[in-house]
Amino acid sequence: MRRISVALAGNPNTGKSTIFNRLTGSSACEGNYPGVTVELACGSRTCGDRRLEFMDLPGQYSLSPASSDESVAVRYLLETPPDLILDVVDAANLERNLQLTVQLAALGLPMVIALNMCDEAAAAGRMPDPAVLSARLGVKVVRTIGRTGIGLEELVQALVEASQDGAPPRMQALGEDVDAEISRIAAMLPPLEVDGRGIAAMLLEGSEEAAAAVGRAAAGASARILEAAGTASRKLERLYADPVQIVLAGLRRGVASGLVMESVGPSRRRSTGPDVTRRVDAVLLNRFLGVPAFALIMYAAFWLTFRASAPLERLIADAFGALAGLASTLIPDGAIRSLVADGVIGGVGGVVLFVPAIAILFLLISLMEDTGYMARAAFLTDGLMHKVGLHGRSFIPMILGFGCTVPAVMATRTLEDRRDRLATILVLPLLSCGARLPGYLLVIGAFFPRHKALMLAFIYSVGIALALAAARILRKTVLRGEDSPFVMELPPYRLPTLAALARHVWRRVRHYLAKAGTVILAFSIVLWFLGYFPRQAAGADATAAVGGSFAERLGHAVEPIVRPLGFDWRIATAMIGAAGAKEIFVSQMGILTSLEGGQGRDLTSRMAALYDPGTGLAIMLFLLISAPCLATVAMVRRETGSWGLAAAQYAGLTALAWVIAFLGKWAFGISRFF
Amino acid sequence: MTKSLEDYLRAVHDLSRDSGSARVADIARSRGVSMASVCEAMHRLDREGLANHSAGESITLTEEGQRQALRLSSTHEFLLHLLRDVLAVDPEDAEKDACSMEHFLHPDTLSHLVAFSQFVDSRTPGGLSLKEAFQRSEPDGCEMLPSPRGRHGRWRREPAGPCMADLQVGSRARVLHLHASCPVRRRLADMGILPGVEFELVRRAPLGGPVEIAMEGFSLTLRRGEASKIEVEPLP
Repeated sequence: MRRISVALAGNPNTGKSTIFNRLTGSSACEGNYPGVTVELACGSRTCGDRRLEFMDLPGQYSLSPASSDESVAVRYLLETPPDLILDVVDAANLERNLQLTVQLAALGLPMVIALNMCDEAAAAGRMPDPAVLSARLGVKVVRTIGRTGIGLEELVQALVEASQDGAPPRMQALGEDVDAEISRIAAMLPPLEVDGRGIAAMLLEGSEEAAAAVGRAAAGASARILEAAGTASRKLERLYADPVQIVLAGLRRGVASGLVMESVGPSRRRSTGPDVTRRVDAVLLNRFLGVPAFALIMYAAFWLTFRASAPLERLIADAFGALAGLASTLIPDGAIRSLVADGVIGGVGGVVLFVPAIAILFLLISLMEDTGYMARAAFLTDGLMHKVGLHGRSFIPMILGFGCTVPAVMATRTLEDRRDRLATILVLPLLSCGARLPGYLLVIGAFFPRHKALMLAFIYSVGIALALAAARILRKTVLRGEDSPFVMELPPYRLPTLAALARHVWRRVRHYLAKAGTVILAFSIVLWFLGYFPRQAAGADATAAVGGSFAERLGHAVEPIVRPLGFDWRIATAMIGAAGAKEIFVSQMGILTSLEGGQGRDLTSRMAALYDPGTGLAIMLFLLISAPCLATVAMVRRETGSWGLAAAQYAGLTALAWVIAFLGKWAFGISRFF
Repeated sequence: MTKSLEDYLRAVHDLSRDSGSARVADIARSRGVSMASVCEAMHRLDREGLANHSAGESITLTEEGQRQALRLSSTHEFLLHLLRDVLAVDPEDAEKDACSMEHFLHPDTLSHLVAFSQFVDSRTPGGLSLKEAFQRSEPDGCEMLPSPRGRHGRWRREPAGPCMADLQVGSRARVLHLHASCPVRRRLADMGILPGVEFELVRRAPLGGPVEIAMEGFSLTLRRGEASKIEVEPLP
């Protein structure tokens, strides 16, 4: 079987990942905002006797990358040139997209263009004619709608034909002076796997990736070639009286608008009335309504999380209750029964209970991402982010941080400035991740049943406020530096597909369940062991069953430190467990209280009986702020390359947690008198 | 020796090298001064023992005069090379600056500059020389000087006219120049903000946040800092 490698390239947010997922059946991240793909993803599809191997590249605006994720794409194209480039073009935004197409065509690799989002272009009355584009660019052009999968079969067919044909795209003339310089430098180049003229144009723009490619092919001649390129670009700058990058971008833009003119017809600017996106934005991004609307949407998301998940949660709780009952009748009394009923079912069950809430919250977050609202949220909040000294692009890792801190820390790679990146990484654990949600839900259910959504919004807001304050302090002190630029595309609103939403939610739930089945199960067993042994002499009364166990001794050892927060030895032990993974707090409270003979009543009412609401608040705050989980610590160490930083973050956050939880409890106590 | 006397010494040297003889009239013409000032200067050179000057004859340099003229000339050549070829200064400006610098640099400073120039011109194994790296680098460093002309004059950071950030919400404008620093400028150009492109300023975000602009087929947001570096021409 012949293997054909195909690289999906194109501007950010043109639907490369959606097409990639449709073609290969994988589930790479996709969303309606630029910069979703930060690393390469690969997948394959068989067509007849050929195997198409797809590589999904991060989106790029040009071949001269501005950030590290874009340079991943350029290096891939130059270092391991694919057999084919599949250039995914947003048909509704043709002119800007074709600027990159012209650059890609210059690389001389066989290419196929997917005119994606044809439905939007058609709705705007600006549907390009594929035949014209195909004739002018010398490549196959296929109309597609990635969301619905229309045109993808034709696309696969076109890819196979293009790979048999192997003809390079037609080189687009940029103008005599520039083309002369490009040809002159291209003639000096050693034989390369991509067309020399593409490399020569990149050298003119001072591309490091192109210089590296030349260096690999001919180390000896590279200095001479680079010198010639430098002289040529200075010559062009004098000629055009503009920086060479702007000269070349402008010329490509000229070619692109010529292509648009021919394939679409003259632009009818502002001939139609305001489109849907503009009308929606007139409200959602309104100067006065925008921020309240954002707050309202976030609040509604939390409220829905509770309302919609409650019935499902009851079902799961009943199922686990029945399971525990069944285990008690089947297994004879003793350590094994306790292990299964209290340890495994109590521990894991307590965590699985929150699957519906997590699924719903992430469904809502995905909905915001896929419709394009998340980019608007970045637009609305950038003023604030800017004031605290964070980069606009920090917003995306921060949103991811609400899911899980670990991928969020990884996503900070899109930040170029190291200080921006460090500040973001250090405050990320304060954005409350999904693993902490079960803890909040438990505490809120036990102590604040009348203000559920409000309390949840409150605890998330405390996290956000602390993160912003911490970022501000960091950027004013140890991580002082200039702001880096922030230019972002605002995508039009789009209707998300059910399939994409389902994929997002399933990825999150699967991750959560996998954790419940592994780490949390293991911790549950360890903690059950610590809570169960050493057994006291027979005859000891049931409520003191845990008395003298390892867990109690450990808890008692730590208790003096956390006593001012209202924590007893049980909470102390559970918090120690939560340092491994945050969900463990819930499973451990479940085990510890059920070992004491609390079976029959659910964990929520056991909690309500043991502690007061002030302590509940302190638990939430401590859970939010203290000790990032072990996976986060490892990732921070990996991404910053410093154990010192990871340790400082750990200690700093834990100390802060103590102070804030103490203040919270104290303030709650005071507020009672009013 | 004064600056002007050094200049005369070099003029005599250059003229006799190029045309075989240096007469007062030639010198006056080449330096654009009156013949009387040339005569006065020649007398002084004569007194210093650097030139032989007698009425009616062309001027010749003494051995000492030759030596000094050569030193000045090579200093000039070196400074011109340093400014024009290493630092990539505009050739016209380089010539002028070399002419004035050659007079006041201490000999030690000069020898250090020579060593520096050789150092940056030497190749690192397999890579660019420092000189090449510098010339290929972004011009940001040079923009600190408030120079209205010269190589980087057009890349100055502040727009002279109205900028994108000044526009009223709902108004249209055309991009004239991008004054941002190089990486931003490149990014803007790649994303479609190029001289000549028309756009509408759609809205400003609250709290001094970014502005949104709509162009043909897409919308972008830019922070106000960036928007204030883009010089525009408002359209009716």
